Amino acid sequence: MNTKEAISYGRAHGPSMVQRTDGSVDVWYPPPAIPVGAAADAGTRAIETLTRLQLTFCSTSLAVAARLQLGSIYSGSTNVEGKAIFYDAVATTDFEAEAVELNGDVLYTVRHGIGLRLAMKAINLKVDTNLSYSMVAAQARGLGAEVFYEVQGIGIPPEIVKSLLGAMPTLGPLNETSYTRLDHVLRVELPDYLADEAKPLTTTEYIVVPRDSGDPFLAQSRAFNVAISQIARGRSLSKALRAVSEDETLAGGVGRFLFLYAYSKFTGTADPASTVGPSAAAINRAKAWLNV
Amino acid sequence: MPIYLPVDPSLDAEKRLRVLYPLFKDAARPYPDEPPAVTAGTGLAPETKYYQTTARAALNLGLGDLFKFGADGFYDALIMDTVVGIPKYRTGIIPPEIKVLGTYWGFSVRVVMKFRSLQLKGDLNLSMLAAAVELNSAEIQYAVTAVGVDRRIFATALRSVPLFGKLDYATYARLQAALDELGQALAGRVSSQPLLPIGVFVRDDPFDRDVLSDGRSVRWPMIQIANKIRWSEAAAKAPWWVDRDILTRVYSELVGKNLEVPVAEATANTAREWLRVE
Repeated sequence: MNTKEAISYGRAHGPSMVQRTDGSVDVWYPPPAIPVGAAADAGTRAIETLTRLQLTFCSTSLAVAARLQLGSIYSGSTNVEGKAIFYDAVATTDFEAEAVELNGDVLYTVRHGIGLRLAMKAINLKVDTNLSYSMVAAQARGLGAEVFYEVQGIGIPPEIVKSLLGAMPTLGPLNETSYTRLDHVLRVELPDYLADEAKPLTTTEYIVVPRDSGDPFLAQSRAFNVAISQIARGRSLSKALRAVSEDETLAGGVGRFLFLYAYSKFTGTADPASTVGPSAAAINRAKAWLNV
Repeated sequence: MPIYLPVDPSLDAEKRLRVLYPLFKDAARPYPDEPPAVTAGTGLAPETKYYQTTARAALNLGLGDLFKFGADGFYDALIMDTVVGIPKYRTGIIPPEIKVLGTYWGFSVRVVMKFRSLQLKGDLNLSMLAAAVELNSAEIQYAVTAVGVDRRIFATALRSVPLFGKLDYATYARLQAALDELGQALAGRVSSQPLLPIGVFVRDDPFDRDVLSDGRSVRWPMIQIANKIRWSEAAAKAPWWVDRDILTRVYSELVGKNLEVPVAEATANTAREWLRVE
């Protein structure tokens, strides 16, 4: 029943690219040429074993997406600043495996499933935390971000993906029209296709979540250390913020948020203007955290 | 009062819950060993269960790819489980080495949310999070996963679940309706499909920690590196509250993949810089 296993990195798990005579490229995750199990049950295999569904949104760096060749929109993106964003609407089996580097680091997860992936390439995002598809689309509409989409079939052949998309190309800029159309495809055309029991489904292996490089784990935990040290010194929030005002990593964004988060967890105060120092109990809790 | 811990239901070859094995070892078996049978015609109604934790703990419980490789680090997490099935509890005297007091057997639709907020406190639920988003006092991402589905339920989910992860009040109302519908669809399968161990009941939350405890587990190895203590020595003398995974991660980021090399002066300075406070 358990199928989680380590697979060696180096084997290709990325999508296949189909070059068309008109110059267009289709990207999809094809099912294995010879389905696992008897040929006779090839059509029903996937149906019998689908157990989960994932409607998940995740992102990684463009460099990682380019290196793993996760879509034709990412090729040549190695040195471009931006985000590769994936929205997956996939039904999966219990299979889960991890591709690991020689030193044991997990690079990405592989599952078996069937569905659609909306792969996006976003450049000039003004806000790159809290990414959601609607937010990416909103930035593409109003804030000057450039976003391209590519629809990839996971176990669903390009011909069928094309028929689901209708007149819409599988690759293009994300704008009001394409956004609305993609929403409709995921909400109407895809479920209609899936619900038709006469249509055979075949699962395929695909890369779920590639590892993002540049993990800010250490930088972010530093915000806690600084905030709690400020409490231990008996500083009010306004005074604490002045003390760290020179520190770029704490002045804005996630660093500032985590600083305020830690300060308010210990003192109950999140008002940056507060001039009231922490209570003796809060100072003691801060010292206990710092182990001093 | 036992705590409900939602888990990924896959079992290893020894029939232990894979995600609980690192914590509970052989005590990670669901109770009872086999799924209870449901007689055809038994009406089971979906119910909702919440579990609040950190994004890191949610990842350890296998609760959705949303938490994998969370490059943004410190998030709180809220899991809203719409479950349908049968809870089974042990009875009588339960010795301390038994960790799993009971198991919820069935199917579930899981909304996993990771969020950051300065205002939200206490026992949270989905509507509170949605309200916080509406007031712009929280940032939230969510994903929907389900176990025990077939292609029809997948299609139903696509039609009804609001896509694309921004949880504001309008989305909340649609999501609530979608969960009701999916819960009913899953309930229709309980007598025809084997039930899955989608959650366990435990005495204490094995992840009774918050994101600040994770931060504390970063600080301790930083002090060791600043003092040029090697990884193996640090790992051996670390106090109980230091998370061993985090300790090793800090060393591997600063010292390098070869953990056992002596700490160089430049590396110690990086740690000192991290620890420096104006």
